[in-house]
Amino acid sequence: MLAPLRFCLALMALVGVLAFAVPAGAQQPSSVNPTASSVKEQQLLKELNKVQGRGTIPDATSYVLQQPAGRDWRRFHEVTLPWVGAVAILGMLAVIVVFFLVRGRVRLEAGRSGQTLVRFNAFERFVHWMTAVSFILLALTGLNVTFGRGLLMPYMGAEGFAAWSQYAKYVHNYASFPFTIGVVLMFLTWIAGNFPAGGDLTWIKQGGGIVGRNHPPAKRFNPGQKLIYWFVVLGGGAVAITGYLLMFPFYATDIAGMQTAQIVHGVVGVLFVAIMLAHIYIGTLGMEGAFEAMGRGQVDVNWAQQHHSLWLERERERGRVDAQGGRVAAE
Amino acid sequence: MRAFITACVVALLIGIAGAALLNQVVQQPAESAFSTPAVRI
Repeated sequence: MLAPLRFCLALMALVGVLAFAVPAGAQQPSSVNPTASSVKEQQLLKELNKVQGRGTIPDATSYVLQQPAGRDWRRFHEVTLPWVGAVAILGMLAVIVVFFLVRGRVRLEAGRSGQTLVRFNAFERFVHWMTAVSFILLALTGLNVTFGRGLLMPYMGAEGFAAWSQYAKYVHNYASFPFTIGVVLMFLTWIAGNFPAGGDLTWIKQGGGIVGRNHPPAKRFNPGQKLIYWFVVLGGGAVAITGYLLMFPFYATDIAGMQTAQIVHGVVGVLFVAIMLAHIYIGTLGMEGAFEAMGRGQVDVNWAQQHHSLWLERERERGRVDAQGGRVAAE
Repeated sequence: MRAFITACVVALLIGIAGAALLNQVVQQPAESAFSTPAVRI
């Protein structure tokens, strides 16, 4: 009598267990579905252009977990910028070497007269050298950011390169202040002589006396120097503004602005280095007597006649050059 | 030469002044970026 009853109870228990277990088993796959979750994340990225969460720390930018533009930016500073920099800088060096081999040094054709006149006064030379020294520090420490890991780290080791890069970054930050002040002073000091003027086109057509053998007349600054001036003012302004945006991250801009600032800073920076290489070449090795203008502040009258004849004429009219061949001292 | 040396010295002084300004007035400790005024339970 008891055996059939026990059998019935066991059967009912088994049916009960199965009845509860099947829905639970059926529910399991739908509650954990990694594919569905990742699809949602992709949709978020696509629709909102970023995946952002919430947080409690003051740095609200850390709440952004993913944004596709970051990949483009990473590709720019790891691939594109090094290529742009290498082509610009090595290309400029190659052009300078070829130019020197073909054209040689631009000589003082009439020789030295022994008579000099003031080309740049003490304040102008001070402004030039303060900007130049700061720029060289900025260029070396800035190039370290783009090329250092590939060029220096194999020789310095990871720890040595990290220590050097840390100090290089400090120098880069602090040298920006005299550089920026120098650019502003240059802008104010030399703007009067750097507007386009009549005769500039003739100078350009004749290759400025550097490409060809003619020596077209020029005022105090020739069109080549005007180009350098405006590049320093505008390019220097651009690297200064974007540099301070990077130095004070997220104070005045968002992530997209930070990425744009770094792109502008990097591209203008490497172009700056390339153009300054040409400037340094023509001011030292490339042209006889040119360095004296920024070295001692005086140039030979024959140099002025050859390269800046209109300026020399005006200086004579002002009585700043002794017509008898006397020396006009620097200030 | 005098202008060059003066320029180097002034650039150095401006850099040092900028460093002092950044480090003592503007810059905050890194910990402040990761701290919270809220109470965690």
